[in-house]
Amino acid sequence: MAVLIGGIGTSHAPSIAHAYDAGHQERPEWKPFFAAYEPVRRWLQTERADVMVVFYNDHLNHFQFSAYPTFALGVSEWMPVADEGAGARMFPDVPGDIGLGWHLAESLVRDEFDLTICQEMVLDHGVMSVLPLLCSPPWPIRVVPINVNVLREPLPTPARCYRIGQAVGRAIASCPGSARVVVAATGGLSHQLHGPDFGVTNPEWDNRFLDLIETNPGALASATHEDYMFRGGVESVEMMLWLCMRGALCEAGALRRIQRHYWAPMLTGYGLLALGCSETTRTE
Amino acid sequence: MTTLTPMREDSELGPRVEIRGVCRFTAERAQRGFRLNRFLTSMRQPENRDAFAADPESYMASQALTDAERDMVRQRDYAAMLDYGASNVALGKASPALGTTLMERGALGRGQSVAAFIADRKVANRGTPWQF
Repeated sequence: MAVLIGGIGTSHAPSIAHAYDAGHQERPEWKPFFAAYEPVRRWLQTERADVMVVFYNDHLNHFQFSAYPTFALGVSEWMPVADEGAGARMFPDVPGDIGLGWHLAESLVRDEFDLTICQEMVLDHGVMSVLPLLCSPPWPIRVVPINVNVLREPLPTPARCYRIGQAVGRAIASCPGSARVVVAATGGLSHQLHGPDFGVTNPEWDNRFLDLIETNPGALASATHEDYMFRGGVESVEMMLWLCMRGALCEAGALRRIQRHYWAPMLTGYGLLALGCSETTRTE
Repeated sequence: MTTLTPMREDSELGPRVEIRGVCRFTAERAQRGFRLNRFLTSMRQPENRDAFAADPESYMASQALTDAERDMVRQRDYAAMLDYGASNVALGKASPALGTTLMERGALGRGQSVAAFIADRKVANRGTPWQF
């Protein structure tokens, strides 16, 4: 059966992609941020991770409001990088995982999570801001994307995000084959991107969130959208995507922290957390 | 420089804070703003950007925007667009076509120059690493 190696939560701000493309990795202000991903990259290599299920949100690049799904699963052999309005970034297409993709589709729908299945998908900065920080082309990791609506109300609840994550954990545990899977979630942290408090971040809350996602995700899952919005800003509600990742890990038992990092440089809070499933809980 | 005002301690989550000028992309706004958002997201395509740049009025007419919607676009009144029903993400797609940036919209929201906004945010957000 497939093995769940662990989970990664990370921000996906477009600024990360801009800094990466501009070669700012060694600049003093950016260096600690990019360096923080190195232990996670090494961990993925050591664990021989070959598939990443990634919860993220598309930013009107693949989906439009004419048909915007609440949950959508990408089951596609190759996924191009989206042109978000300024030309696509110079990365090769990202390989998908048809086998795990269809297994997730069948398992999740049987579990009463009725996702939209997408046999074509383009990936925007929701995935591509951070994929190059976790591994390098030619992509050694196949990607199974799960888009969650965090843009247009009504939004799925935090509890629903947590439960779909748990269902993904069960699906991975029952997937035939020998895939070594990491579950990721991208988004957040503090985001208030309109009005007189534009760009205000709340590092205290962001760090409390990082504590809770690791040690008490149930408290975050039982929170309301407003609980998020009135701590990290209206657009920070996308932090609930991390509950999808954390839910998957619940099926895996004990966890050990691989990395945790936080930085609030300008307009939003950047968080990174990687949690490994302990050796003893693995069944191969 | 604005700081967040804690409102109350609430369980394990800690205090909520006051956030001014909250504008959520509700179903009501999504309904009213549908055409406007379709127009804004159409700016992803270079041919549409070219058409809008060459003749904004004709392009907006081709997108069936109402007079009120066209006026918001003409005025580059981003706050009005959001309040009416623009998605902030859709607005981002149209930023280059409208000649704006996230930083400019931030400065407008806070009533500052772009330079003052950036300087303020760097200080206020303590743009230094928190390492664990």
